[in-house]
Amino acid sequence: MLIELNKVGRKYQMGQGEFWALKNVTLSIPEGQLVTILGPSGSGKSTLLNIMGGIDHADTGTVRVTGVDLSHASERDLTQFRRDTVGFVFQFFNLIPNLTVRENVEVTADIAKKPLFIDEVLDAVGLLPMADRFPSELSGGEQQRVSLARAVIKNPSLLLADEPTGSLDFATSRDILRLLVQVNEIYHTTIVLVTHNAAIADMTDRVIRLRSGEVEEDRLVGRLIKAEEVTW
Amino acid sequence: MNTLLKRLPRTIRSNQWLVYGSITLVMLACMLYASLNAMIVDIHESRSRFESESRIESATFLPQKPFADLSSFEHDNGLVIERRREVDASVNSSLTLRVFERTTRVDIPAITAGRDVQTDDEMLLGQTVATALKIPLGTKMTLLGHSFTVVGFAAVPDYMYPIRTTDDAGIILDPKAFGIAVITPAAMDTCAPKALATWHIRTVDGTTATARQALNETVGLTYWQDITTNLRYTLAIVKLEGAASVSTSMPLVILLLACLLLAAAQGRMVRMQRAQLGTLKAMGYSTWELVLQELALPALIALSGSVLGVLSSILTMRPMLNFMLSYFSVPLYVATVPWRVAIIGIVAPVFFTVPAVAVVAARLLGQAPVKLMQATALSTRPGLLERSLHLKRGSFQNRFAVRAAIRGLTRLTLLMLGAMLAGYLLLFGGAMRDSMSTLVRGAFQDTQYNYTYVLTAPRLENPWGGEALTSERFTTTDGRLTFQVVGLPATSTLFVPHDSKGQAIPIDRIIITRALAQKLNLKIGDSLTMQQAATGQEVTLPVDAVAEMYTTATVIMPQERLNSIVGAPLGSFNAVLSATSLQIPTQDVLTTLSMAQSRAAFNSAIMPLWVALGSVAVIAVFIALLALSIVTTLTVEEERFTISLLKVLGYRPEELNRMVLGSGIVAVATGFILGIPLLLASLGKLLSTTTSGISFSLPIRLSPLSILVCAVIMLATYLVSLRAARRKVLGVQMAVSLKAARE
Ligand SMILES: Nc1ncnc2c1ncn2[C@@H]1O[C@H](COP(=O)(O)OP(=O)(O)OP(=O)(O)O)[C@@H](O)[C@H]1O
Ligand SMILES: [Mg+2]
Repeated sequence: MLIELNKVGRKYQMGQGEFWALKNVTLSIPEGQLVTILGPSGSGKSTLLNIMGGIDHADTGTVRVTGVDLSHASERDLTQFRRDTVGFVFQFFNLIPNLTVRENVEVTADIAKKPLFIDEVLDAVGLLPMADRFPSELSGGEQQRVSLARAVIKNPSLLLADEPTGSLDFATSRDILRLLVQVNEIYHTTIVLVTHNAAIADMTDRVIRLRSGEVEEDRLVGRLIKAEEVTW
Repeated sequence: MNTLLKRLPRTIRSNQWLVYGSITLVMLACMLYASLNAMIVDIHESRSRFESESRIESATFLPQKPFADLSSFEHDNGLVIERRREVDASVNSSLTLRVFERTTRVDIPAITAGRDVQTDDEMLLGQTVATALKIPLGTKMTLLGHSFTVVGFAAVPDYMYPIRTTDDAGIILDPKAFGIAVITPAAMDTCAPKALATWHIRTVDGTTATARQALNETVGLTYWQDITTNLRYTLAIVKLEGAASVSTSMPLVILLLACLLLAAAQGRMVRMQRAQLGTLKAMGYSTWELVLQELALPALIALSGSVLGVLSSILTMRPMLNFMLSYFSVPLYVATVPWRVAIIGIVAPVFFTVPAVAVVAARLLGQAPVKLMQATALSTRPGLLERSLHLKRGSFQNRFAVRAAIRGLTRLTLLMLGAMLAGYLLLFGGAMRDSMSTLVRGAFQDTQYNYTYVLTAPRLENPWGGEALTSERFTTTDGRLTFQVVGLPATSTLFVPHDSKGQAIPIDRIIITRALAQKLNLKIGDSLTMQQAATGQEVTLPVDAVAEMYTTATVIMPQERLNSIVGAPLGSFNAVLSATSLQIPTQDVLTTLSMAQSRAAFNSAIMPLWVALGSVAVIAVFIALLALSIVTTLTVEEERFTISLLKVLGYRPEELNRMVLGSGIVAVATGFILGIPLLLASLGKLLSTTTSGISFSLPIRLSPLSILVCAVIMLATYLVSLRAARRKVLGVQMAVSLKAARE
């Protein structure tokens, strides 16, 4: 198993009391799977994803990704883990504003063990003609493609995407989804995708549905549709 | 790693004002630091080289009888002795030169320009006169009825501070009226065969006790003065080193404050990028890789600022020293910035700034990436203080302004510090101006006479007119301060001391001037113990009144009382004051001093102070401008997102300006006001060091007018920096609010 979560909980201090954003989440994801996490707003989707990616910590339970015990890893090991294993795509693209498209991708390539070829990746996401533009000169969909290229360039074993289509129109969203599926197929990258849109779930292998920080449903779907067929 | 570095030039380009302003600030501070410190070292080295190369005397003496065998006396006692003749020559009505013969073993003239004298119609001219009167080499001058050509400029070590006489009246240097010249011994023979000869002795280790005893036994002594009590030497030392003690602490404080400001500004730049840094951390960059990245800009600013500062101080060293030394007769042997000073100047800003920014960055990056990224757009969450205030009432604009102020509390503290620094420097200039004008105004108001004649011997009758008085030189018991004690007739109308309320003080009591009171820390009711300079006789007197005179340290008492103290005959006098010029035979007069001369001398003595004040004021305004604009620019940068959002919501420019920048004026005012007591507290100490050892002291005055002027300059400076910031507020693109959320 690539990801193994066992009774994972995450709590936030809320004034006097505490609030559990995740409660007892136990699940495992095999290598190469394309998984969707669904759930209403505030149900803990982002929290779960962040914990898997080692950018947030669990308060209870154990988290294991590619054999690394994230719940007991040192800051150093966590950095190494993120550097070698995970690629992130965020809803708000989080690009570096004063680096060009190519440079934004290079930033990850610089620290990757075996990066892919930048031009190939840029070409794959259709950004080669805009490689020298700055993020502020791109549309939202284009920015998200940069973000995707940046995550993919290091050929991660795990790609985590938090509402990658959240701020895009549906045509652009389809593009991004198509790219994600491609990455999964070509590089056998395990992908965990957070979304509000149940339709997206139908193009993936498996759906995990959260409610109030708990797993409400976890089922295999088996890629019922293609990315192009996703509707809103 | 390399790709991230590409952000650097782009960050610089998009924050030009901040970056270049910071560099200039560091540059100015470093330049001030390096220049002043190098100046101290250079002056000290030049002086000690001068002393050893020109073989400065250890003492001057007059023997009772001629030496039987000088060279064997010298040999037996390990001494070097040389006789030197001197005579005063008036070149024209306003310039007198003291002409020395060229010595070869003690007090050798150092040639500062041109060459040494070779023939008997050549002369060396003192460096201070040549500079003050702009006399070029090759000028022909008539001295003592003979014509000489100036072939070189010179400095003579026992005339390092070239003053005419060492009594109170002559103590002020006026390089336009008095100076030195050197001619060959043969020329001296022809021009002034009867010139006064003094003897100059140099001992191996500079101590003179044994030499003095040996001389006393061999030839007898009628006069003896150690170089260490010679005002022409000690005043130079006090003034040169006194200036030094002032110039070490102030530039260091300014440098530290500049670094603090830079560190704070850069720390805030780092904080503004938290979302970006969070993303990079999520991508697998380690905390330290990112901290190092964030240090590039502060290091670059600190380093380029300090290198530029030190370089410019190297370039300006020589002219600056030339200006300083034009008031002292010391050759400029060394005019470099020493390695130690240059290295400290270059390293200090990096050393103070970079670690501070590193701590800020490391603490920030210690947080989890999610936390950093969460704060994308709405950068800072409400702080503890802000929440506890429960701002509910008042208009939104006021609440926003208050919020911005609270959120930027450290920033406001910074602004206040900057204002305090700038205000302090400005007020320093103002206080100096006030003190000087009080000094100048008070200097001559008690003295109604225009001429002072000091007689060669006490007399009982006065056939010439004017007002007869007794004047004697006294020193403190430790010998550190020499001052004049004046015995006045009770009926004196030419010299009327006034107290602090402007009332005339009757001359039936012991009066000391304010200058003396300040130097010896005396007040009415204290007693003053002093020694007569000539005899060493000690006397203790009560202080009955203090006269408001800052220009001279003097004791004033009834004439007969002084006569009885010094053992002069009843009714005798040794000096004459007069409103008009008197016809006293020259052989009876030791010195004549006209008030016009005094005034001119006084003005030329305070000239360098004015120049120094002017430059301090200019630098102060610069530093103020930079400090204030760095802070206001930061404010705009930090509030960029909110500003653009409010613009989108339809707020007008004036409203935005008031909301974003409104709170600053309070901090600036607070800082300025706090600067006043700070200044007054430190000024007294500062001024007492600069004037120690000289006979006048500076009254400390800071008039409301000066405070107002400084406040206006300060406000103007702040408004100028605000204008720049305002343009930035208005220039914020509305798209920022929409894009900032995504980038
Ligand atoms: N720093 C925080 N402090 C307190 N509570 C938090 C914090 N971050 C998240 N939460 C809470 O934890 C819960 C889960 O948040 P999370 O971001 O995982 O939700 P989500 O499912 O991603 O929602 P959305 O679909 O709106 O993005 C929410 O109720 C949220 O209010
Ligand atoms: Mg979310």
